[in-house]
Amino acid sequence: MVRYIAKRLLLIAPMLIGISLITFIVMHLAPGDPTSMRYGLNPEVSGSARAELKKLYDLDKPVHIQYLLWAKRLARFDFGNSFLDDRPVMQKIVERLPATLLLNVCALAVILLIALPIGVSSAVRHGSLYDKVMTIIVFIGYATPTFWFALILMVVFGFMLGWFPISGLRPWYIEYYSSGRQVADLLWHLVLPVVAASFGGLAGISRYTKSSMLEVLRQDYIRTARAKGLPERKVIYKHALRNGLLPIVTILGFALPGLISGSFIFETIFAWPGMGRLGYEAIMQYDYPVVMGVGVIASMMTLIGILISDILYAFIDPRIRYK
Amino acid sequence: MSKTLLEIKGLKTHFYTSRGVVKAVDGIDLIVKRGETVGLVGESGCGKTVTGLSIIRLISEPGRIVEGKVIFDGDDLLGLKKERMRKIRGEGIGMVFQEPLTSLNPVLRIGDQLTEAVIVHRKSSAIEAEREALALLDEVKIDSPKQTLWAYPHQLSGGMRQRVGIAMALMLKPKLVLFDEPTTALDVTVQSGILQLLKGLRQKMGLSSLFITHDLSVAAQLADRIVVMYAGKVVEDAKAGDIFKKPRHPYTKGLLDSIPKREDKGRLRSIAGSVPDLMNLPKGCPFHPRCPLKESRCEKELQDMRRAEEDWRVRCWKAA
Ligand SMILES: Nc1ncnc2c1ncn2[C@@H]1O[C@H](COP(=O)(O)OP(=O)(O)O)[C@@H](O)[C@H]1O
Ligand SMILES: [Mg+2]
Repeated sequence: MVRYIAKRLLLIAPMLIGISLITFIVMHLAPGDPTSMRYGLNPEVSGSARAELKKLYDLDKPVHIQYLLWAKRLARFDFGNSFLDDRPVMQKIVERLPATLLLNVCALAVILLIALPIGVSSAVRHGSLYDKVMTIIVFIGYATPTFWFALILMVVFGFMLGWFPISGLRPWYIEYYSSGRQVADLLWHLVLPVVAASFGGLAGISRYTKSSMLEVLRQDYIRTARAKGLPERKVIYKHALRNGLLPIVTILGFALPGLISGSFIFETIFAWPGMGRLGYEAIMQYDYPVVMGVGVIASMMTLIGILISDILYAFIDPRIRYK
Repeated sequence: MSKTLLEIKGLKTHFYTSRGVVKAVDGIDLIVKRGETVGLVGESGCGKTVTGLSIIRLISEPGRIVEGKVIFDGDDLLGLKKERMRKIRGEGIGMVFQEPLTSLNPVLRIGDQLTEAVIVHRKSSAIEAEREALALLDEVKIDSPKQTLWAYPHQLSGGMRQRVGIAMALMLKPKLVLFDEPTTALDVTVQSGILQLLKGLRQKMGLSSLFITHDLSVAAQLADRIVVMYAGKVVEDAKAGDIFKKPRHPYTKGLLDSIPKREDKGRLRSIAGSVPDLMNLPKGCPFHPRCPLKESRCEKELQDMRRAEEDWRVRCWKAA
């Protein structure tokens, strides 16, 4: 197990190098260079500020030195200061990270809580009316553009019915609430963004769960379990489910980037004070250091997600744990 | 108490596939008496496994038991409610499967897989169940039962896994054990170890069993009685001693001749041709295209099982 985790960690290293390379290249592929871009859009930037930016990005040095310096700064999470308010980028990101994590963790939890039971029950009742109805619903879910769905949610439940707030996380009045009511208010604000962000994953994960379970239910060891006279509930939830979850754990690791990048869209739609909206606004305002910082941190979150799913996999599958 | 433990009467199990109906088991009769080992023999694809699974009603889609009776210890299993049937599985009838590699759950410990049936059926405590599991692992000659309880299937060799599979089927001391080719997937040396074990267990525990195999020489070592199956039907049914001395059905004779003998020096003699497609059986006797004795009648009509001698039934026009 320790060896397995060590191996996974070692595999992360080249990926980190990849991230640093790609972000570096992206930075240099952007039209002009960061200074001229900012300069071109804002004629009031003084010559000295321009020189300062050039220095920040080490643009006066040869390209391989530039890269090494960039990598060195990445290692320290030093992305420089925002063009807009001159605060350290990392500080701005750290402020926004909790809201993004909250949204993503809640969305993931909702996906698992709904999609796993749907997938398992559809597999167990394969071919039944229930399974057919579920297949149609999942198909519709699959085909629905998620941003459109988010807007519909907003219109119907936000404006027309007025049940849920359509934007923000912590309104100004929250300070005046008791702590219990603060939590309730937080949950209330979470509803629409979480529903919107989990919607896209529901269809996919429930389908994967179903096909994975169908595959497992055909296996010999399921027949062995039945031949022992175990009740069907034990056969499904003890023998089949753990095996059926294995591919799902892997898929979740890979679905994470989609979830995170998707949440950027929903953060923007729902004016969510998260890292995604920070990145979006930074792009709109050509706030280069923030864009790079958000990009790097989002990639790292993805790597961590994959690492967690690998460890979880080993936890469920003894063939990996005891090799 | 009647001497008959299991009686199968006119059992038909068909698979309704998109390409047509596969009559995997098509009207077989078979009796296992108490304390007896019956060898169910036939080439691969003859319907032996389907017969075994039909007995404990574990046929899944698109298969269906179409008709017949499976009378076990006085009850017709095919008429039992699901819950009663579940109790019979494991408690009344245990089953050992062909593939030790895939028949154990890869993510659960051996101990868990051994004890769960006892815990579920008898409401035993985990400790009690574990003690029984240890005793049985010892019985099936596993060297370090304690470690084995904690092991996962992938940590054991094929032979060990099959021993575990056997122990698993015996946990609830069932009256009947169905062995579905328990040695086929194993190396020859491992095979003989398992056969030795089964012989020993049979003597010691007085097991009644249906022993399924495609290998007559394996059946010869264990069975009191041999039932030969071909294309979903029984073609010969007799005492083991008799059938090996003087096989009556040409198919049985062919199987017997294809057992490698020492004077063959590694030459393999097998029956010419292959098992017919169960979806398009030849008219008349399904064996006639391969039969050395065939005559025109065999292409038109299938003989019923008939008595050739006391306690000896055969399905062939030509069999004396
Ligand atoms: N699930 C299934 N679907 C369709 N056909 C099946 C299925 N299971 C078994 N059969 C068919 O039933 C026949 C008998 O199979 P089986 O009992 O496994 O043979 P064997 O004598 O080798 O154990 C085979 O021709 C096989 O194709
Ligand atoms: Mg078979």
